[in-house]
Amino acid sequence: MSGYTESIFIFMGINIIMALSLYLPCSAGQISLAQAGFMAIGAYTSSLLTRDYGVPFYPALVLGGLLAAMTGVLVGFPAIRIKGIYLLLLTLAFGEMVRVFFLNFTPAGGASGMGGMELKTNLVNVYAIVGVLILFFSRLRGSRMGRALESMSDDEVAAEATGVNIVRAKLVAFGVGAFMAGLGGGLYAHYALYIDSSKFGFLLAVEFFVFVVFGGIEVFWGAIVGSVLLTIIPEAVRFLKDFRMIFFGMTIVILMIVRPQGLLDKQLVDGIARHARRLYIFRGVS
Amino acid sequence: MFFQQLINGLMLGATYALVAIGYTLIFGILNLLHFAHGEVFMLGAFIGLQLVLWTNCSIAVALVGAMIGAGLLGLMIERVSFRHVDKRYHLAPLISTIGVSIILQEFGVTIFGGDQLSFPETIQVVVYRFGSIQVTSLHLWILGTALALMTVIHLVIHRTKIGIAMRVTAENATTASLMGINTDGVVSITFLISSALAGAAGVLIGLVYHAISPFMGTAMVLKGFTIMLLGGLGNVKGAMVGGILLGMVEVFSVGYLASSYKDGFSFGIMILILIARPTGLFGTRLHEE
Amino acid sequence: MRARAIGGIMVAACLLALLFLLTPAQAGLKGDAVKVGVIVPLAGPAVSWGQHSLIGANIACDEINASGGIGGVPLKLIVYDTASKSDQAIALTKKLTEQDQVLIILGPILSSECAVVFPVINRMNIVAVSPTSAEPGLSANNRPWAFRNNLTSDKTLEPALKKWAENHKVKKVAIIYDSSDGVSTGEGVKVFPPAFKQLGAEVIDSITVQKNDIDFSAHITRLKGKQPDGVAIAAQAEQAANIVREMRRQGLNVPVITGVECANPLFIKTGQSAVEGAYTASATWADSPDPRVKKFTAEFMKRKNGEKPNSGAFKAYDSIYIIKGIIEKNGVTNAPEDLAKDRERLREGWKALKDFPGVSGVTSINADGDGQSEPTILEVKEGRWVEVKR
Repeated sequence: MSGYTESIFIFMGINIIMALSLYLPCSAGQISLAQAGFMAIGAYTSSLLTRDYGVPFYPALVLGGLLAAMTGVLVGFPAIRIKGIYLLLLTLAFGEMVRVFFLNFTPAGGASGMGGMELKTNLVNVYAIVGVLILFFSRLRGSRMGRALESMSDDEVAAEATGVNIVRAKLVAFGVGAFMAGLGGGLYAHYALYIDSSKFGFLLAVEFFVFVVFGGIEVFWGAIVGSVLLTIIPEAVRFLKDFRMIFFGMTIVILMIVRPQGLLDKQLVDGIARHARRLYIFRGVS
Repeated sequence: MFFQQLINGLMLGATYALVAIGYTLIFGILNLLHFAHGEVFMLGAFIGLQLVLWTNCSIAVALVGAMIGAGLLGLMIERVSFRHVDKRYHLAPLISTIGVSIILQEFGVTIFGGDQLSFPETIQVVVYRFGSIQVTSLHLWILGTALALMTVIHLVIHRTKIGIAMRVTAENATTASLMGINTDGVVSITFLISSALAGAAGVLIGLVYHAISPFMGTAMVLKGFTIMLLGGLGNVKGAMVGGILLGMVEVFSVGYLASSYKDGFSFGIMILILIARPTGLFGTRLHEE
Repeated sequence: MRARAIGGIMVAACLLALLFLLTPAQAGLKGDAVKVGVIVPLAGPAVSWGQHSLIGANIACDEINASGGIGGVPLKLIVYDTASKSDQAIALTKKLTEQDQVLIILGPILSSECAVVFPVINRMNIVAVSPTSAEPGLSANNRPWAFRNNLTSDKTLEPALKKWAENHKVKKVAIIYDSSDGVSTGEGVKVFPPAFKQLGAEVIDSITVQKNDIDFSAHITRLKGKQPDGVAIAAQAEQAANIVREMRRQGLNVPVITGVECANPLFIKTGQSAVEGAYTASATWADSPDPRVKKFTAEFMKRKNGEKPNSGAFKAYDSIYIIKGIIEKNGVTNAPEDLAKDRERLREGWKALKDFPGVSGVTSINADGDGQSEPTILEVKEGRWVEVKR
């Protein structure tokens, strides 16, 4: 596989991780535009650890994720009582504050950004993490926490009435989502080998948001499909040159008109699963 | 220096307020965060610029032309990308406007290039001095136009039939259509008015700051949201006061504190409001004014 | 008698044949094109540097091909647009190196893209030459394959700062810089202050702007209060020009010097009459009376609607010619099986570059991999950049 194709797949994998990190709070009914900020925390932390303190890559990656997770829980607290557009704006503001912080944080390069990390990210570790996340989300759906999140996103008051600990669920969703985003950031930093705060702004957060909604916000596979398609499409239509991004924008608008729930929804995914099972059973028989 | 900074803040704030009104109007009536509004503002500036370059017209003509052009653009956006999106899926319209903003920004870059452009220096600027304080005629234009437009909007919303229709639709769209209000028409008018305002803002800001570029819209999005929040979502009066307040905060943080953290202050305020008083200074919703 | 004549002719013929065989086989480049990769941002805020550099490179390419190419083989530029996105820069660099199999890469343009791309090319063993990046340290950290055919901002500005402070008797200076841009921050924090200190000027205030800022009323009001007798601005050309406009508008009519990003006709176009008298420093000068520069500038203006070229255009043009020279001198064969060796030959050639006479002045490459040449001190006079004699 050429280096070029490898780059595309690695960035795609990181996008998948980031989109999944956003999917988790969204599945609890909480739209977060802060994932880019958590990504920045993971990226800078892991980079400082590996570059300046000699910490090996995987522990640094996890530590970056943990710091991001702690920040996520911190953001989760005010988020408990805030909903809808207010939450969107709160997380947006938070993400931007993180960006401004790193812009002025000179030990990590400030405006000049930070480089000198070693290349540690590759197809294997990126997609291994993607695989682990897929397993996580598959298990989550059937679990108690998963059902709690689902009931919350339908009707929070009713969920609380049936005994769901809303506060804990929201904090977990934010914290774990932030952890994933932190991992994504660490992986990105050790592939691009240079990070600079301007990359982690609200435009990036919005990008992840588009991936999730485009692919379908009802199921976690939506986040994956959205990331895959929206990473590949701009590359595939390079021949359109100046009209590449216009085409990209149009794809988004058209899909929202034609299929506002996103590409995948619960119905579709369940339908596919049923068909797959049927095929499997048939094959077993014949 | 303090009073000069006060004036600076007032002028800057007035320009912000003009754009913010559009955001808040659309949110108040349609429950939509119109991501592409910043791009409408940007294209309004370009339309005004092209008018001046091609026909050598005056500012007033450019202003009116930009308002018409931007208004039409807004109608087109509404028609093409908003009307047919199923509103039951709350996020779909929002994402659709994100797609539109990508298209419009690329369109701007393709047609106008990536450089900053400015209005030709044919416009006479008079500088008024009061002691050590200084105000330019352009700034007064902005303040004046902003106040005039805001008054007009206020009157439309509170004194006309259309305004009543808008407020009822803002409160409950289903009830409104049951009452015989043409909600589709209200939606179109909302887009028209907000976009026209944005177009005017684009020309005025282009005149003062000489920094018309396809990217000027993106910078406005965050500010627009902050101001919306400050003033109360959907509250037009709040948007005006909020805009001026934000301008003041930014100016004073530069004048007296560290300018690198200027943006940080805006976001800090946003967070404080969200935690302490999410409904904003004046409360939300058009009908609560 | 006839025998001797025939013998003489035969000997002459043999000698000629021998001479012909012994001449270095210059016209021996293999393949049907000499491929040079170009990575430029053609979208995004710093687009003018990308566009100008590309045009400069194209002018060189067209001239070279009009006179028979390199070693008889046409020169082909493979151009990719990064849209000012660092991820794209990485992916496209890899594409050029592996799929398109270019001999060498011209670019990236932005220092931020260089920061991401240089480690990549250093690992992939291919030379990348940036004609515009000015932030100190980037090539030094990525030896031996990263080069910049441009002066770093500190080297370019030192003589200009000295001249400006002397000519205008600046004793109290205020600094404004864009803290969201690496090059500008480098100038605002690491180049201006020590230089001024050495020159005996006191830095009375240092404030920042951000990339998308358009309102500078608060900044200038604050500076006015401190009463500087000179202002140093490090920001992108258009923003810096607007800062100067605001200064004039508020009546702060003191001398101005800018960072290297402003050595761009865009600065004058945006600033118009307000920037009259501003100083800057540049590696190149579009209005130089040197006939080669005039010819190049004229051709450039034809291709870009009468716009004057910024230093990126000059440096890109020269870089293509330098590449041609190295290919001819260092025995690059352009055969597919020699790709790795050819890339090495290009590296050695750039490393050893000394006193190349180009339209951007006489260039050498120093031990850090950065360009070294005499910078020009420029002043805006009657709407054009004019040289200030040392």
